[in-house]
Amino acid sequence: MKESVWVAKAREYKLHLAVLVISVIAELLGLQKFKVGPAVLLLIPFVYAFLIALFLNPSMTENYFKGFGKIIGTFEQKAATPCITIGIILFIAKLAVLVGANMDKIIKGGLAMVLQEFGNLGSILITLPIAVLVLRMGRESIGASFSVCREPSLALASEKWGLQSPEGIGAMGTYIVGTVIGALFFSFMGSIFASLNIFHPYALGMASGVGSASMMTAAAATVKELVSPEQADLVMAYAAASNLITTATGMYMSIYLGIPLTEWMYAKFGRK
Amino acid sequence: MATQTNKPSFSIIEWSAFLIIFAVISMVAQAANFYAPMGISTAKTAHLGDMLIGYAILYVFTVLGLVLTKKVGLGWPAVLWVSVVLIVVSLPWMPTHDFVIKYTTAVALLPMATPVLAYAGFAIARNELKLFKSAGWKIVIVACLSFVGSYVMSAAIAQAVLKLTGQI
Repeated sequence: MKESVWVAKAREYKLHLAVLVISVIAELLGLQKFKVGPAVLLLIPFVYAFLIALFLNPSMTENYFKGFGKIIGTFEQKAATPCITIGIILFIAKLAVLVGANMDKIIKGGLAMVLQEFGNLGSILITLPIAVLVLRMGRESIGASFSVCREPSLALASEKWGLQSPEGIGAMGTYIVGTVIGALFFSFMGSIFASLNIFHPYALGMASGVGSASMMTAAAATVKELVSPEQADLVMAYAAASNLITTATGMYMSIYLGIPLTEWMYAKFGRK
Repeated sequence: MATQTNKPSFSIIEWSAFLIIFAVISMVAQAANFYAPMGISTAKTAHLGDMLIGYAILYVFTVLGLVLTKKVGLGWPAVLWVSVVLIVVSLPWMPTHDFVIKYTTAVALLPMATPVLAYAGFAIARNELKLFKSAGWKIVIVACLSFVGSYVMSAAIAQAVLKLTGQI
């Protein structure tokens, strides 16, 4: 039994070696800061790692570098999917240590933490009217805007509407956009807001917990690097705690508040 | 109802085996980060012994979390169980606190995210890229608006409450 697991892993050696090489290159490049007007743009190694891997993805290289498919082909592409789910768990473990160690401070900020969860609903108030009134979208807008749509929301949408329905297509759309550019988008958003000084770093930390570990990390890590070391740990701890709450409660929030609110707003703004 | 969760179907042996590979990649990444010749480094140490102990502690409690996911379940995903285990052992009121904190500070957080995102870049499938291209610019705008909306609204509420309760 134990042998077969290692044999299976050994067959994926090209994938793991490629990830190792890419990670080392990304880390050697290190963190980079650029001043863009009033904002500081922060490039974090995991952003380079994602981009390098994306450009070496077999579905991309078949267009410009066919030979590379021999190293990273569809077998490696398929094998990479569970690695995200499992690898992120060790990362989450380290984050959970930050949460546990700072629990006294997190409890102090508990009220803000709980109430800001409703901010995830607030997005509907901005997104749905623009989708319907400006972009003239139909019922896809409901699926696309009821949440940031990570896996649990996609499962919910598929159960409620089916992925072939207009709402399901909208939900799938937000899910795909998040998968492809979510981490990049959140890291840019994080560095812009952290350097503009509109919100306190702690507020930005809490806000980063949108229910996806990679989006949360991207958003919070940029904030973390732009504040003092004493604040940095607490920013990450707030972000991780908030993300955990969203992971645990986000589905219920969508079922009982998010989807009804979106449907109600669509009925108000939508074309009859 | 979506809340009817299915039984966790992963294999603990398989996941634990991969976590070892993953930990090794992360450690090498952390060492590279520590010496980052061109950019800013975020890791505090690249000492092999310290990193090994730190990773070993995280590893043991992570596997414990995976076992709880299987045995206790409650419909919680593995990330939630692992989080609960590690939060509990690192609480300031727990006897394990000093030990866990002392040794896991050697583990840098961000270099662990680097291999995860490298896997993510490789994992994006052909039909996902196709869907992304065919989704149209409207969906891209709406999705980004959802991200901005959720982030800014949450930040605004957190800011207001932290101010009102006198914490910032």
